Amino acid sequence: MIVFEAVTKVYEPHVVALRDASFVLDKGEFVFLVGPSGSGKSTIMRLLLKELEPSRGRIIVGGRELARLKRSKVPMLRRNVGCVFQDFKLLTDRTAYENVAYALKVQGESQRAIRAKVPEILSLVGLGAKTTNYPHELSGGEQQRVSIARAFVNHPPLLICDEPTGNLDPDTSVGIMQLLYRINRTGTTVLMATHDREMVDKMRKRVIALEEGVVVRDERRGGYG
Amino acid sequence: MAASLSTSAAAIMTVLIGMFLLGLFIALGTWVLSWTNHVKRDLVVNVYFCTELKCEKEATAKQIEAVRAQLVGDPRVKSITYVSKKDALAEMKEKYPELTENLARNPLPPAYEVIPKRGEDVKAIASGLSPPPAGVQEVKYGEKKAERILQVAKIVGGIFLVGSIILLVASTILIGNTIRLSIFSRRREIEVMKLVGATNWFVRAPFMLEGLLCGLAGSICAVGLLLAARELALPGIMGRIDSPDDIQAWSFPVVAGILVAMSLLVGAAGSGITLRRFLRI
Repeated sequence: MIVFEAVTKVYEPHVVALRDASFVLDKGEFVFLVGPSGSGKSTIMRLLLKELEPSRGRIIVGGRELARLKRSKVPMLRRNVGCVFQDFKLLTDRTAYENVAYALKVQGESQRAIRAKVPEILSLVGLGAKTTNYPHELSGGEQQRVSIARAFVNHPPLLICDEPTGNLDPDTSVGIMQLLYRINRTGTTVLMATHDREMVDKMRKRVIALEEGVVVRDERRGGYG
Repeated sequence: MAASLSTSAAAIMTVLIGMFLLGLFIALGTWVLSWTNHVKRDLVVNVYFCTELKCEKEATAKQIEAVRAQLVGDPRVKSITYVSKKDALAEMKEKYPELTENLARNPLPPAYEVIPKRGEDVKAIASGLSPPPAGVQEVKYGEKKAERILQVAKIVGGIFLVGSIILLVASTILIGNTIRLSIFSRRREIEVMKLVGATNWFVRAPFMLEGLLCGLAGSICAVGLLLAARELALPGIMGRIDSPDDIQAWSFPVVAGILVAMSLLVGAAGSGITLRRFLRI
């Protein structure tokens, strides 16, 4: 489903963010991306969204090589990759419902489809009772649930999460992890960058470890290391 | 929001001033052009015949007729009018009564007033009578006058062009700046839009629209101001200028149409350039 083939990313003038990274993610996998800050985790995420272009190497997502993807097709790629971030990236002047509906509207969905899908996904993430709350009226965990709902509302085949629990306390983090795990069980590939040692050790999922832009470890059922 | 409102207002004001001046330029420019054409129409070649005073002998009727024949053969000539000594004096008396009061006798020569088909041809027609045929004392045409008029028209045209370009560029830059601030104030929303897969046009359209609206609002205000100026100030000015009816600037709806079209173009250019630079998707 996702292939990184000897991918190197150099930020000008000569900061090497990623060096010769190669790995394959299969459909439906749950993969942790671990490593200290600046080890290249976020670079991998941004390369997957075609926010960045690799300096060398090939990236293939869903059978398509990203370098050959036309600029006008990038929105289509992003509709097939859900994104969850540490800072949620919610629109503060819109309610939970509106934030999720916004993603569908942007993608050109009909009002009818929006009215059907949004309440369903919000109750799936456990916010069925808080659809009219604004982000500042929600806890950190709840805000992250809204952001997951927004990322997953169209059931993309791939969900990438950049430290989704980075701002949350351990108990809340467990809830978020459970939600992501449930999403993964529906067949969605989940790629999650994290610093959360305890979580990684507990989940016993595939772990790709990065150090200074180099893949130093890729284990089927790994721990944080 | 308040910041974006004030920058929008600034851009609209610039477009307003720019378009107002452009409107004045167009009105003035087209009026001068029309005036130049009018004056060109007045350009004539005067062929003065010999009198006893100037030459030794007075021009004979035969000589006068010969010149007429030559002029009639010239395809550039539209019409020829004979002004006799008597006619010339009568005209002189009318224009300068005090000068003609004490004249002992008529010193004025008989003449042909030759009207060319095109104002520019006066020089060519005059040179066809050079050196002067027998009996002709002098050939005169409004060369200096014509050249000065053309020169004035050129300078006015130049100011027209340069001024408009400067103002249009300034308007474009200011609209671009407004859009840039608008992009900045909505950067979070744009980030989210891109993340969830909005197409480029979905992201750009509101900013494009904002630029066009800035331009449109400015030009509509400018058209209103020009209309007010036309109704209030123009009668006062035109009352003092001796202006024949055939001198006309372009009609107001045409000028208004040009201004609105220009401002839409400026709005599109300003936002388009900024989007290209600051909204790489």
